[in-house]
Amino acid sequence: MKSSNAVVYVVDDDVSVREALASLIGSVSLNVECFASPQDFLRRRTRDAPSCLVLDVRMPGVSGLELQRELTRTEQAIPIIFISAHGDIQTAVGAMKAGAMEFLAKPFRDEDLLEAIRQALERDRAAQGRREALASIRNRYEQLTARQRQIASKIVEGRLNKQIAAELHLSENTIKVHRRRIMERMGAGNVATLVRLMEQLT
Amino acid sequence: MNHFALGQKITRTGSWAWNRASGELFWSREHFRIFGLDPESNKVSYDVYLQMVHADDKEQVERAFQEAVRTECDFDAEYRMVRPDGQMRCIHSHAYPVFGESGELMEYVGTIADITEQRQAEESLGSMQAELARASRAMTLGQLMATIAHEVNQPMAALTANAGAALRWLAADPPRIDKARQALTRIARDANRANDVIARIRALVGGNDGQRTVLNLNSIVQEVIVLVRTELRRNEVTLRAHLDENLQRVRCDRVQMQQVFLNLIVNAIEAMAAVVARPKLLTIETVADDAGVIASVKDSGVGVDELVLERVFEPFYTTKPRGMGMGLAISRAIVQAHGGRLWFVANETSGARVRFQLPFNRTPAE
Repeated sequence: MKSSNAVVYVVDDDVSVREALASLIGSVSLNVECFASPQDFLRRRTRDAPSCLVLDVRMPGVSGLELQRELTRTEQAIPIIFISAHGDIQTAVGAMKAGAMEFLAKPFRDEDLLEAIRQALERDRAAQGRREALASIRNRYEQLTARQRQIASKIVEGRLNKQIAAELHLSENTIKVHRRRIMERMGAGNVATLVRLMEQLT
Repeated sequence: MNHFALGQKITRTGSWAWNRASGELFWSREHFRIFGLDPESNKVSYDVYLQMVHADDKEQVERAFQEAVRTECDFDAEYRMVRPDGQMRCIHSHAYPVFGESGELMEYVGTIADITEQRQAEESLGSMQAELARASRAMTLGQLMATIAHEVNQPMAALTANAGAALRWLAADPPRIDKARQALTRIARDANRANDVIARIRALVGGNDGQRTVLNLNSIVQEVIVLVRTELRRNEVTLRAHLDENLQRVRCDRVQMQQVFLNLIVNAIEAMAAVVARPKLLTIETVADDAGVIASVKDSGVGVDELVLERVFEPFYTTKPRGMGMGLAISRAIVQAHGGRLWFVANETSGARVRFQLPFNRTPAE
């Protein structure tokens, strides 16, 4: 029985560490997926459930820090817990500055890792909520016609129906009909809400 | 100011004379100046002089002077004195005895020089060198420790995670005995791995004889070449291997000999890192002589300075900015543990050649 659909990804080139972490994380009823390299992770991970990444710092080829940068660059942000067998303060500082959740020196206490995972998943769940809301707004916006999008942006700019009609050489009545459609499709009860929704899309 | 006084001022040298019969002391103007006294308003005597000498050096100066007078020899002393304003100066004084017509000691005539700045410079240089030596030693040792720590921390991390997992699987309801057993099996495996790491380090740093078998050195060279192929390519190093086809087999530890070749090859690659004008050429040779098998690794780098030729074998000695300084020391220790020897070949046209010899099946001296 899994307590949630959350997934913990583990990327470490050491098979002993991977096996141990898979067992430890599995023992607290969390889904876990292990990868031997950052490339593997980028190729094979699936992304819809809340998730976090337990990432080794030093690996042959692409390092954990490089993977962190790549994920940030491609806007695939995911809470990262770094684990390292080198107690290297500079690396830790760099990783934390780049937004890592936690930096644990190997060997670490199992409670420390599990607690960090718990917090990371919590954070990603919140982020997930935001991501879903945004996807829904984007989806609704995409259902508008080109004309409606044009009108919507003018409404957001604060133009009155009369002004918009004049600018687009349309009747005021036509604008009124479009406006009602736009508000319905976007699920906005008033102009203030529409402004807030449209802002999130930019 | 007359020429004599000017000369004294420039060289910061004062002169003095002491009359044995009267006990009178004469100081030049520069001597007064060095001692921080006004020559016009001060009278000098042996007692005044001794009072100005630093308390810690007084006894030594007095004894040295009495000894000089007793034996009628030159007086030479270095001491600290304290000026009336509290400033301390380092003084070097040298004097020689002057004898009368009948050979009796008349007086001592001498000079003093203010060597404060010189001493300070020497001291700071000395402490800087000591600091540097300490820093580089600590750094290389630190790197060694970091490497060992990494190798041990990896299985340790797996160990603790498996232990935590095993406990949780057992505490589950119902307990997952199968999962706990797997975790415990991994614990045993990882503990062995940690042990192996320690054993390997111990073997590397010397002592342990390891696993010796009778084998062909050429096969080890070939194994190591496979290991360093990428490194060679990345550094644009051309490899030439002249391996004697009729090479006799010798008794040695395969892993340790791989380590020796690996160390020598990596050293050679690094020695050629700065080479641009010449081709980077790495030559590995094996050949047999009467006593045993000889292998050599030669680079076309900048060579090794004669002055550091022996030092390169000291543990933690390195000429590389990021080196650990253990490679050659370990290599030589391994070869010697096999009853062989490892040395630098001098007078190469360019680059450095390290050669080692392993004796034929003969057990090394116990």
